[in-house]
Amino acid sequence: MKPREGIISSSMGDEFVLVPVGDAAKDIHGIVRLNDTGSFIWKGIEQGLDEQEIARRLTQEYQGVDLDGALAAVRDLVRRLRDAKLVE
Amino acid sequence: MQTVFPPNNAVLALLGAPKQTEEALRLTRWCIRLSCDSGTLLYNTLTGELLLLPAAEDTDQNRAVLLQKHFLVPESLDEFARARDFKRILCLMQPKTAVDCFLIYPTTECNARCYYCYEFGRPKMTMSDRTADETADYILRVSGDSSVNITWFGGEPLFNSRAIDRITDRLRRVGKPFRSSMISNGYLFDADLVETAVQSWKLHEIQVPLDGTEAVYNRAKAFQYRDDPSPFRRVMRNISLLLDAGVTVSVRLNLGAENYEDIKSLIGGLDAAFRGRGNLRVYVGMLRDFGTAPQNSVSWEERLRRWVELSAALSESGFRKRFTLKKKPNVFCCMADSDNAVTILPDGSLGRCEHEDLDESVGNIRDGVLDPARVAAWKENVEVADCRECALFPRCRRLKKCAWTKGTCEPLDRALFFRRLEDEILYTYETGGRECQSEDTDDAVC
Ligand code: SF4
Repeated sequence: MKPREGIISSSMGDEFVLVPVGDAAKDIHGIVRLNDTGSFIWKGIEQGLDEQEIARRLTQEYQGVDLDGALAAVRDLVRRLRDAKLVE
Repeated sequence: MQTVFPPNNAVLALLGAPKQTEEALRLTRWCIRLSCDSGTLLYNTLTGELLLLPAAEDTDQNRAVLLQKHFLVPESLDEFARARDFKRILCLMQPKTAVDCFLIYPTTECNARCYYCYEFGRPKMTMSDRTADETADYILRVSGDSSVNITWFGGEPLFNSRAIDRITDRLRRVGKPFRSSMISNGYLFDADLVETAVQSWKLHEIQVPLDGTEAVYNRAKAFQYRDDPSPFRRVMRNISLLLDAGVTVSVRLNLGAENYEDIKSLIGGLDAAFRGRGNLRVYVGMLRDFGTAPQNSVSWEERLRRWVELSAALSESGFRKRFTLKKKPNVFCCMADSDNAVTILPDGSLGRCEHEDLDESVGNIRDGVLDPARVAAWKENVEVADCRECALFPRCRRLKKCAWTKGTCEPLDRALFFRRLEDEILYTYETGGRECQSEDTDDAVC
């Protein structure tokens, strides 16, 4: 699992955005905004971590999140990112 | 409320829709407000949108729309951090393009010795035939299918017109589409060379500096052109030949600390000689303090006043081109931070900036770019404490490595930047929001 080539990720003030450029911009229209957890998960994907490891780190970062809940959140976002062709 | 000039859609997409908020709202820092005959113009330097608020309109009723359009923002929004990110992302979003702009030095030798020249002390080099041929090959290699823009620079480029001939011959022979412009003192032209320039070099624009009226100009050049009673007249004749041949001539009047009155007279002389010549542009450039010609004996406020007055005289004569706002946001400062441009020195070295190349080579025409770190360093922007509150920040691109700004923001530069932008805003309003073609001539700060 890795970000598709041509996706720029960046903070934008208090938001975090994914911007397709080059070839990626031809079939991904628009800019994706991620909330805090979303950007945390994205950065994990960029580091080449798998879903389990990202979920484990999420539980360390955010209090009151159990591993099952974190894993479900990670899987849900990864699925949506794949559907949006942002992750391959 | 009326939109005079629309915002840039890509910028709006990047910013996203403003969130509804209970928080108090304030005017964005990136707003320039100007009065006009039918009310107030509000220009947002971040989104690029220009609004007209008619005098009678109740601004309270417009609050929701102004929030939607990023003119009002929540009190606590860190606009500076957002604009800084925005500028960075905008640069990253630029598509990779072929190199299609080349600033070429056929020579660093010059027939004039201008007192303000920042090239004093630079080693003198002239491009050999072999390097000229290799330059043409390099252009063909890196420009892909793009049509190419070449600027001949120097030194005085006409001092080695042979290199220009060789490069353009080679491009023409393989059918490469190109056109060229030139920075020249204009002295070495004659009717034949103008014809060659237009036909073979595809010269469409030339910038010629004029330092003063006939007597002043001739006195300054007396040492170089000993046998010529009036080099000034010869340059004026050549400007006329170039205009007749359809070349756009941009005359740059160099305003220093001492020559305001003389430049004023010179504008009168140009008016008498060239009024009504549509392809002549004249602009006032500020001389900079390069150690060779200190300019700081007059306050910046006074220098600004003089610039404004002379520019008004040029507008009156129809020589000063006005510009409208542009839809595309500023992404690059100049050729030094643009990916599609490169400079080529007489020895075939590649550089980023016409003022720095001699010691800032990033590669050469045989091996291409060899020092990407140096290329990247040219993209770093200056940020000074005042940027946080400066309405120009979203549009401002000032390079840290620039020898002219020296990593600072002088009040005069900022004031000239504001003046130019205000003029663009008013001109856009006067022309009903039409976008005119932009040109790169920097008539304020060069
Ligand atoms: S003009 Fe000067 S103060 Fe304003 S944004 Fe540019 S560098 Fe900063």
